[in-house]
Amino acid sequence: MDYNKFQDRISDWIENTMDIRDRKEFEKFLAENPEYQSEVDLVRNTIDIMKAAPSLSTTKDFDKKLQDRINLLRNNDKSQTDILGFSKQNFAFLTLSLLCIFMLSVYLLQPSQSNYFVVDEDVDSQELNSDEEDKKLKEVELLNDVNGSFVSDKD
Amino acid sequence: MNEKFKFSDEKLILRFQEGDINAYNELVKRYKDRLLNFVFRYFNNLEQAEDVVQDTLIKLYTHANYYKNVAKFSTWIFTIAKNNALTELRKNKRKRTDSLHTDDGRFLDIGSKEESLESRVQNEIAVDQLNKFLDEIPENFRIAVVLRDFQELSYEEISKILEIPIGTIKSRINRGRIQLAEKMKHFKE
Repeated sequence: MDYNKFQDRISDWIENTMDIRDRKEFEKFLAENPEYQSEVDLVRNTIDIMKAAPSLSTTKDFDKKLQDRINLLRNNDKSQTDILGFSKQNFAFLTLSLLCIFMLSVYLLQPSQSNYFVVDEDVDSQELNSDEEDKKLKEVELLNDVNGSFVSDKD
Repeated sequence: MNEKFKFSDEKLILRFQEGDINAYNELVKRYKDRLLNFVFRYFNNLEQAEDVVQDTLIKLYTHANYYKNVAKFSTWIFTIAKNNALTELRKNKRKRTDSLHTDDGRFLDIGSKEESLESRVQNEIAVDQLNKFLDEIPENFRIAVVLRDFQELSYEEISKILEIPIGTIKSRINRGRIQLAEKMKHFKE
């Protein structure tokens, strides 16, 4: 065992958390190097001082402050659960959700639902027709351009 | 004796989870000073340490249901206190100017152990000096030493609270103690 290893194990030896082999090795090192015994004693003494140290106590108004904060929390909780047992936020969210569900149901179940698509189809076919008419008009205009006013006069 | 004193911390938190406010009060009573002594080591400022302990106990009130009965209550509450302390430290990196003394230089609490006046005075001086030396060692050593030697928690608990492997904790505590002992040696000389 070298000095570094010895230092690493001081606490283990003081707290008796070493296995027997390591403990014997540690004690052999100490016996061979008695000058290090004081280091072990000093660590042990330091631990003892810490364990016996007086402790800090909270100030007198600590409990009152804590109680005030808890009361505040309780009051907030009460004010937040004053609509049918729900908090205001939850109640608003619930109401909004129900409204959405209701409106969606009305929309999906209304009888004119199928006509909507028919109307759409009509609009599409109308649009198609007007496209075809536009195409024809363009062809006539093109002929006009090629033949001059003669074609259109003739028509 | 009041019946609630018979309950373990774990039983008390379970009772509080079921709505027993007396169980909460008992936990506060048991832990407020322990937490203060722990948190104080982060700030070395009593007022700030008390604020953090208050926040920790409020969190205990509001988040009691987060506690699951798989860990020791002390580990859980110390972890909350540590996290609160670190958050506060990040928010406000105040200089560590106060000491364990009140304004008139006396210890806040001497304890009630039956000792001779002389040994008490000697012990006071040693503790006072040790507290000053504690501030001089690295924070990661200091916190581990405080949890072990002031709070007397197990290595396993400290490992869970600080979220560091047990081997590292043991090493930090040992090194912290050696550094403190070294300083105490010079103090005695």
